[in-house]
Amino acid sequence: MKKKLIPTTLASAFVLWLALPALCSADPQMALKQQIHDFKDVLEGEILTHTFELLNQGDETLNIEQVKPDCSCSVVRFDPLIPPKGEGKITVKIDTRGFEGPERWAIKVFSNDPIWKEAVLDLRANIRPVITLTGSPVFFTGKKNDPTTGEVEISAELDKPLIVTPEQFTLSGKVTYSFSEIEKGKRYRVTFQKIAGKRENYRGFLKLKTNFEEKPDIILWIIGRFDR
Amino acid sequence: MTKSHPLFVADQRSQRNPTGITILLSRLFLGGIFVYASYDKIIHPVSFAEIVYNYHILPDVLVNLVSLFLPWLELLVGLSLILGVLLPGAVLICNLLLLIFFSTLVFNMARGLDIDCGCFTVSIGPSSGGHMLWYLFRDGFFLLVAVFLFFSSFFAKSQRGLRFDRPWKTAFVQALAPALTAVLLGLFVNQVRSDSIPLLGDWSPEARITLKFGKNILIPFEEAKDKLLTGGAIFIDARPRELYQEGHVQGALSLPLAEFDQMIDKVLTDLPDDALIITYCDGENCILSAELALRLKEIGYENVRVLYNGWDVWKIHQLPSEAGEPRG
Repeated sequence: MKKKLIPTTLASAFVLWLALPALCSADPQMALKQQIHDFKDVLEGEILTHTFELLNQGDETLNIEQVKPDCSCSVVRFDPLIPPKGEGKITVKIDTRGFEGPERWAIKVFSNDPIWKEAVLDLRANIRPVITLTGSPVFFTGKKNDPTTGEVEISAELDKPLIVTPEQFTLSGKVTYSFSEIEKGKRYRVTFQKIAGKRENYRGFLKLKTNFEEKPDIILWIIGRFDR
Repeated sequence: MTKSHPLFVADQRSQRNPTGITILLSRLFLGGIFVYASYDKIIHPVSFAEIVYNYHILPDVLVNLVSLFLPWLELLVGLSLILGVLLPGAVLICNLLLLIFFSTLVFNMARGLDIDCGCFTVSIGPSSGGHMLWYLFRDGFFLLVAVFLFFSSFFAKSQRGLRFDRPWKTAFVQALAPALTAVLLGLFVNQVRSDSIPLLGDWSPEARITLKFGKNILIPFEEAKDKLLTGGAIFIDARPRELYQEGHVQGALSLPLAEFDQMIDKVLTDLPDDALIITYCDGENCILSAELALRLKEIGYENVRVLYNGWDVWKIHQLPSEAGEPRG
């Protein structure tokens, strides 16, 4: 029994020493119910929103002085004052357009908590494209054995038929293209053919309109480099 | 392994002793769990390192080393438990690891971190999904099984005169074998694989941008400043349009990442491939500028650099800036 008494007392004293500042504090004390939120799999183009909950475990009003998101996310609203032992919320919104694959965003929270003045909220998502492009961009060079055609395959990743229609082509006279449907409403192929004799460098694109609200435009780039 | 070890004896008696069967099943169960858990981490070292980093427990410099060594240790301990080789050492390490995993989860829960456990798969997606409470319950159960094995191994009462001889000393010596082998395997495999990671990881936001590109594309602030003053670069603001309108680097173009496909042809008309383009956004963790640089490189612009935390740094140094709509 005596053997156990000493380590038990030491352990209790250590825990008390850790907890004491929190128990005795008269300052505001910020605590987060959650610091990281993972949206897991989402589709490109989705607008993601999430609400973080904050607690004030201190005895003074917690003042959220500033909530600063990093770029592509925006703060919809936040509670600037959280009473002692009360709760507050920070709601953030993320525009996933332009992103692909695993991504993360950070939001800094500045408060009058003397110990934790600056907290970082972390948001993550794995963004899946609604339309996949294989073979884009197409590169043409002037080298002897390099192909004179390039193919781009367009695949729908949603369970609804995809309709694509050419809207703008900026390389007329340098490159031609043909369009075919491989699988109805699901997969398309665009074949680009460089026009023989044209050796000036160019960069252009074929813009396609789609019926997917999440991705109304697709740009297929074609780059010609003949001076290397 | 010593023939008189209780776990080994349990194997021999398992046909008729219910405790022996339980020990055997516990060993196989935990062994299987450890082997299964190690597989994905060994295959994807970069993703696993990211998960270890996300726990925010280790110093950054140790993250990569632990990520390389831990999966192999799990594999070796799992195999030891299944095959009954070096059992006391395996049981000791198994308990130690599960105790660390469990404590880490509790610690992060207390901090309000809802992170991807990364216990069995390092891929992001529904398969890795779960809540901290579930992770805690699951790891708690594994720990209980391990503790049962631990007590069966080290505190079992002598039965029929068979008792493991000096279990602690043997266990510590045997624990060293898989630990050292795991370190060597981790280091060796990392050297020969194509997706190897540096032993001493740098997890600063700047380094993460470099990791994404495979090379350093950041431009030092002083160099970017000189380029602006001499007109030697085109600055592109990757932030949403409303932030650009509030204020931006003087003369910078606006190309929000979200509108890349719609805006690119209007923004970069007739720009030569080798023109120096400097992308920037706002904040230490902002990823828009790096993503934009990546997209520009994909379409043939070769000389794209990222000004890390660009707009913040620009404002702090009170360098030329302006507000309003893009020019032209």
